[in-house]
Amino acid sequence: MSCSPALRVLARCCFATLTLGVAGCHTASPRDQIKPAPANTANRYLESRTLPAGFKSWFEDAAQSLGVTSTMGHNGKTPLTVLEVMGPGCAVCDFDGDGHADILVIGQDGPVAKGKCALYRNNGDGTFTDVTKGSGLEAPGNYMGVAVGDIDNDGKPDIVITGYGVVKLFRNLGGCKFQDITKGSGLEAPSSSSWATSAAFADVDRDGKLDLYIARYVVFNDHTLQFCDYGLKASCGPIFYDPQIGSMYRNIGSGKFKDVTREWGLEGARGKTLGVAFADVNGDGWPDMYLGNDEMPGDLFINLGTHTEKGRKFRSTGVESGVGMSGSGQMQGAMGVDFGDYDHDGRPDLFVTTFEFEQKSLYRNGEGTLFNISSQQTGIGPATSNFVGFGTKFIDVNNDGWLDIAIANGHIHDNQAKIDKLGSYAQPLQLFINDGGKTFANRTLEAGTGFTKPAVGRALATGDLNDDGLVDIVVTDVEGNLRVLINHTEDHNNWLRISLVGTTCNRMAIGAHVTVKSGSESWSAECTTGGSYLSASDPRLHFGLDKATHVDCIKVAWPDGKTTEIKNPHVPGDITIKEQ
Amino acid sequence: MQQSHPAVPPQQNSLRKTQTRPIVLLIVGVLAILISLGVRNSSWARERMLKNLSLEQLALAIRDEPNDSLTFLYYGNALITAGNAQEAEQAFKRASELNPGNERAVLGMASARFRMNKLDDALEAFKKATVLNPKDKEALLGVAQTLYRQGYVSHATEPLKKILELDPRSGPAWYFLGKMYGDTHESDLALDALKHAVQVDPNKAIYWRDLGQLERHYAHLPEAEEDFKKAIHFAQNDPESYLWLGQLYLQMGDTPKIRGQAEQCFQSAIARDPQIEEAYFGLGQLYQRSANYPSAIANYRKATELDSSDEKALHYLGESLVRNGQTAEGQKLLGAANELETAKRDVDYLQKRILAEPKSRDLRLRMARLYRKYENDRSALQQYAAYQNLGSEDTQVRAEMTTYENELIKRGVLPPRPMAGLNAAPNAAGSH
Repeated sequence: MSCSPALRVLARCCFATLTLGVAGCHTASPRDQIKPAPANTANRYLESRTLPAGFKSWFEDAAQSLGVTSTMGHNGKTPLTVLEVMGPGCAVCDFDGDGHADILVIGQDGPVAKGKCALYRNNGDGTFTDVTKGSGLEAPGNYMGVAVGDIDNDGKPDIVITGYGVVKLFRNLGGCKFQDITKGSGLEAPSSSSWATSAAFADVDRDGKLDLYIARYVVFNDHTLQFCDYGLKASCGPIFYDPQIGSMYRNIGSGKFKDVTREWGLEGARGKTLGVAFADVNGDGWPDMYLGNDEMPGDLFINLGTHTEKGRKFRSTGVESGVGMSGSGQMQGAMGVDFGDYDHDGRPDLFVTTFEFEQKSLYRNGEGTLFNISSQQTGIGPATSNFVGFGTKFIDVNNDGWLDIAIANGHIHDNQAKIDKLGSYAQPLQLFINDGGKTFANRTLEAGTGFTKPAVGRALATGDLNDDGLVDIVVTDVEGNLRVLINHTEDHNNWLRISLVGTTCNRMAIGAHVTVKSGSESWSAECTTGGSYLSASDPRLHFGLDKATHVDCIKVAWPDGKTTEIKNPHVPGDITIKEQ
Repeated sequence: MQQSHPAVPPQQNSLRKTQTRPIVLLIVGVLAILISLGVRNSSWARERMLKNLSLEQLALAIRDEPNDSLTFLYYGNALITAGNAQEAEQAFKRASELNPGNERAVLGMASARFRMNKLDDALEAFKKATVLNPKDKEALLGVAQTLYRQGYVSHATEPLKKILELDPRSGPAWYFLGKMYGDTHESDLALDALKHAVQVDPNKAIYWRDLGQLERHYAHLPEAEEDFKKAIHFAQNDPESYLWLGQLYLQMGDTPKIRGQAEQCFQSAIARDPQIEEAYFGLGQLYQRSANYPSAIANYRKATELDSSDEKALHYLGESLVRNGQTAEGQKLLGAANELETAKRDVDYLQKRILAEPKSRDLRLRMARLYRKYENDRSALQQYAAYQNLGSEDTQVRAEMTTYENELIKRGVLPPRPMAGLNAAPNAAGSH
């Protein structure tokens, strides 16, 4: 066996450290994989500033009053394993086609938690009705994540639910009824310990049918380490487990999928993936894919998209494109991921949430495949480093035309407060307001108690739940009630919400690139339900227009290459654009 | 009636004095000689003498006095100063054998073992020294440091607390206590201890420096800045403090002022130690941030020259080259950085997993194979042996080991096997 000279140098300089004979072994604490805890006050997660008396919070947690009563928890069991603390997910989508976004909450039925999925139909007046019973989604499972996409182009979004040893494919029958069509679909979990996390749909090969990527995390079972010694026993981090690698499934029609991971050049993914998002990062019209890997370099797979390959070949460029590592050149504990054009340059930028004491990574898309880390410059880095971030979305909270960032936070150690006296399992959510594409200001306090009240936040999905032109947020809490954060910001900016209907491309038009122009201003976004963590969000494209009262045109570049231009649409309001 | 002594005539008296003076002088002289001999042979005098001897002179002295514990003790000290811990251990061991109650010899032996990373043996010796003198702060500190290095951080705090009971103003005890609490995530206690350390010993630059580093970890950036500045104040030639302050500025933001401060700090670190790789790396980061790729490239190049195993510097050098239009070279370096990073990560993760699961045969075998892949032969053989010792004989792995050993013999890494019938080593790892 041989290795390169560089590695030999390395072998000499850093491998001499482990000389463990059996007799001399002891169970050492794996503390060196944990970074020291920061903090100067008991509530280090909160800002020290205060708001003026009578300040009206931007968001209200209205879950209970709206009839969304899902709750999660582990009945006080401690410590919890890594499997017990990672999920579950949620989705915001108009499942019944009535024009209003519904909510699907994924329930994890594990050894302790006895969660079940819950489907809440939007009544059209901003309230919800639990329609789980009879929906076909009642059967429990050790579920975690969810992806939403219309796999058969029948106009009804279908559902994929991921989990530990399980993947389920549910065909939407309409009227909030679903049919389990997993068997024979090709999506079945490859083994009883296969741990599927986030998943996302995209028409990768642009054949008009939505393909699916299912991310996988680590090898965890009864024979692997259950707890690590941090002074106290607690769930272990990913470095103590072997990686599992995700799979790309090509939609071959009739509800069937084929695993094309190797065929399409994705077998080199590093694994331990928690977040997955698609976007056309280099503007060539083919969907590229980013994988947020936990304590492994991130993977950016560029779709080669040539005519010969027809989008069925990827090249890994994570490291060379600058999105593989954190701003300090380290691997990061990546969890949630999302694409969004925060600086209005027409190219999708990338945001990645990470573990505590790691600045969350904001990568500005420079030249399509070259990203520059801008966490420090934009100010989002220092303000996020104390948190363990999971679900995240770019979201224009105040319709000022600039994408803001919302983050769900929460530690993975249920006993973190005992391990680190100034840390905690439950942590506040965070909201960062984009100031002209240059900096982000922490406005968590203004967001209100729905944000500041600590939660063990995981999934985060977005959508306008009450059709008031303001995007709302849904967040799962591993140890509490689902949060339905209704947006009440009062900036009175204009907005435009675009629903796309594909005819020759995939019906949901996932992957369509939309540009809205108003005078010298322009905004762009890509249609997707993916991103964040274990979540699926409303595919309708929401554009904040600031004070613009007129839009010159909307240009849609459909995934199949066609384009549509709509001139002078009415604003504010909804518009449906059908592919011609 | 008063009885009086018979009167002595003055002349006779003078004669007697003349007669006794030589005797007194003789006695005084003898006493002086005896005292002089005593002093010269006293351990105080001997230590004064031994202290001034060079290593070479002490080497001769132990030949002259092979049974003198003190001479061996000083020889051991001189060897430690010369960096020869291995021979120092032997010297201290001899000193201790010659005088089993010599606590300093035991302490020296412990210290030599600690330096050689023979931690189990060092701990045993440090503990022995604390038995000989339960109030020996140095020995207690040694126990703490050894336990700390062995990974028993929570145990390591106990001897430090004992020192602080004996001497609440012990700077080193507060200092190490702070570092250990930091590692066990006792954030509040860690900060408290390090603050005590700088309070009792405010001129100690290293205390300020490490307090600053802790504050930096805890995101107390302004406090960390002050601490690093104090460290610089008390040790103006310490490049590390400048380096860490520069890194702190990099973390604090990205304004022209902060960039300037960071640049100045990195330059100051380099002025004090031109070989300080991290400072070049910091400059590279700084210039890359402002898209000054030529300067970034120059500094990353220097960093990689100084430490060819720094995959981060290699990575950013590659990235800067790509951004500067030198795509081919940049991509090549990015590939190399990736290879290096993967290797380091694989080894690092597996090492940590073995520490957490020392009895996992699977991990041992994987570690052995990984070491083998990177030609760390000694460690590979150890892990193979550990694998075999952890369970029943695995003939398949034994065959793999044998093939490997044959390879090593062929490469001259291992000596040829003894002829059959002679004392063949049953365990390859044990024989190396």
